[in-house]
Amino acid sequence: MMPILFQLLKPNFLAHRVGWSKGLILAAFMLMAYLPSAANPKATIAIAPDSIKIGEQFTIDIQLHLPPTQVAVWPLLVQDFAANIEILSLQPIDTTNSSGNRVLSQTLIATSFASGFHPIPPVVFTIIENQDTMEVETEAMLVSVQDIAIQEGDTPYDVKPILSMPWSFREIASVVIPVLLGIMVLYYIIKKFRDTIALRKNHKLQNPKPELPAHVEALKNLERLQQKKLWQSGKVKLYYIELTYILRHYLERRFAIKALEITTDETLALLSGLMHEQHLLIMIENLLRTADLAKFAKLQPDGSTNDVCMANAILFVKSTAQETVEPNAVNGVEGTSDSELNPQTKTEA
Amino acid sequence: MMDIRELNERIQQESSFVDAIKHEMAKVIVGQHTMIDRLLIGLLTGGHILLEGVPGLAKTMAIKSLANTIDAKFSRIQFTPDLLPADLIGTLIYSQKNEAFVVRKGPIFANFILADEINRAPAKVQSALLESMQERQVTIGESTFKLHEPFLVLATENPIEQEGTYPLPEAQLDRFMLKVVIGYPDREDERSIMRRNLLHEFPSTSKVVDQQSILTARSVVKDVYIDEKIENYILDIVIATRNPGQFKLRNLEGLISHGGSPRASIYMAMASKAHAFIKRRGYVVPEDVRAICADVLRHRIGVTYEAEAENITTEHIIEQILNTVEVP
Repeated sequence: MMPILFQLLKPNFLAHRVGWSKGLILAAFMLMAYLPSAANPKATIAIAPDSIKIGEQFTIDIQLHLPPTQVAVWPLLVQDFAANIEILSLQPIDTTNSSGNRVLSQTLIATSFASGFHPIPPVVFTIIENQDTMEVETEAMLVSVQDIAIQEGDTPYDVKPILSMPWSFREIASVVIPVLLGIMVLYYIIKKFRDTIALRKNHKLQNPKPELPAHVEALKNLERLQQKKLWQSGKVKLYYIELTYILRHYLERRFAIKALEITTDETLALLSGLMHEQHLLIMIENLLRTADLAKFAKLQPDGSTNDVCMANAILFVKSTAQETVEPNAVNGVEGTSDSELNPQTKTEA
Repeated sequence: MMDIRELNERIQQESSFVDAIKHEMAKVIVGQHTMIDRLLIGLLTGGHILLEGVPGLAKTMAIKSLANTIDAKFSRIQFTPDLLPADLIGTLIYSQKNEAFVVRKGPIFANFILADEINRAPAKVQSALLESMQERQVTIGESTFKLHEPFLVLATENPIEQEGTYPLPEAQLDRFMLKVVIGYPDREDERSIMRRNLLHEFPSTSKVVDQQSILTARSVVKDVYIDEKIENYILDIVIATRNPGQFKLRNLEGLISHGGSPRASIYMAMASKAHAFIKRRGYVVPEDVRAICADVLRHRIGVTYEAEAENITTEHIIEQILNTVEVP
């Protein structure tokens, strides 16, 4: 068309063949026929790239040039508008002006997972002008989808790992700060707990519970044993077990001997080195021997023997009681003394 | 169960030979009263005894003297590295006269066996002896022979000169009821020994008791009353050798490799009864347990390398246990 038009526009050509005036009119008509008419809609489609590897994405740009007097019905581009082509995203229709015409455009992102050549059918628009309708369509296109060549002989390898993003300060802070706070709180609780225990221990050390003197404790326990009335209820063995336990515990505190871990013979041997009162030694020996018979030889001493043993135990404790001095006596104030229990006792602790 | 008073009276009657034996032995042995008491405990319970002491402490003489005081058969076997089990238990020999194998019994067929220096014989001979001690019978060829009662093995060993010896394994040591360690005599006893030797005064013992009296005394010893509290005391001591931590003896935990076996509890109870019998009592008191405790446990407790490195012996361990476990 264009070469013909240039031939027509040559002055020689028109002058020789049709004359100037006719030639100009013919050229104008032909030019008008060739130039895009401002009154005709036009639809175009572009694919980029038109050749992809399987799974790769490509874009489809659809444009419709529309005169201002016309209205177009945009087709609904659904998933199956082209076989083997999958539309991944569909952008909204955009409207711009170009040379007095409206240009409607829409971009689609698509892909294909089937190798081969896949046609994209023409997109058909319905144009309405006054009461008339007409259709205009884009060209049909072809997309080439190629397989990825498999490298034979290669060992199989995994898909690429997920890319890890570097930690941001915000993310680090969101983890570290609560942990630090937790440690601080825990440290505070432990410290508080230990301080409390230490405080209590110190308090106990500073204010130890006053321990009863050995003889007072022994006499109390003997009195408690009497009140239990064990031998009266037939529990003679238990009576002597408890009686000797009280006495041995007393000896342990009073004479600093391990009376609970030694035998009667050993106890008596130790006591003979610590006491000089023979009558007391004989008394305690008789008591312990009788208790041994009751404990280990099934002997059932009669009631009077049981009473004598108790009386002897009390007498022994009272006779060997260590003199205790009240704290106020040290300061020159007269204090109470246990010496009245047995003033003449001269035991060596 | 026999009444304690009645039992005490019976013990007074049946234990009269104890003093007689002690008296006879005192003619030959100076001092060593503990050793003599332990030998009597073995005699009264049928428990075998291992005597350990350096040479010259009258171990062999004590055993020979004890055997001489009893009207019983006595054999002395000197253990040497070339001794064979057949030398001990006997063997089958071919009789040309009868044209058959006949049994020739070994020296083990006696009432009292003195196994002198038991650790000098190889393991197979020790095993043959220890098997006889346990089973109280011997098999020669296809025949099994019961050993005579009373049957008592009194073995000796020397703690020094360990070269060329075969120490008894723990399992075999466990079969000895008591392991008695003999110490040196005190100054006065040694003076007396010296004088006797200078004067060539070597009195001999005479038989003062027969086998039947020993067997009767054994039955009386079985009847000696042992209270549950004493049983618990024995168990506490033995368990403390296994789990010292239970008895506030945490310091011993790393020092004991193995504690006493159940034989320790059994023998401690038996020996306590025999000790009570010797003391003319029909019941056991904690003193009896404490008296024999070390001799029963000494060879049954294993010490670790750490203990050996710190020179801690089983004696130390037993002493600590006795000082910690509460007496009933």
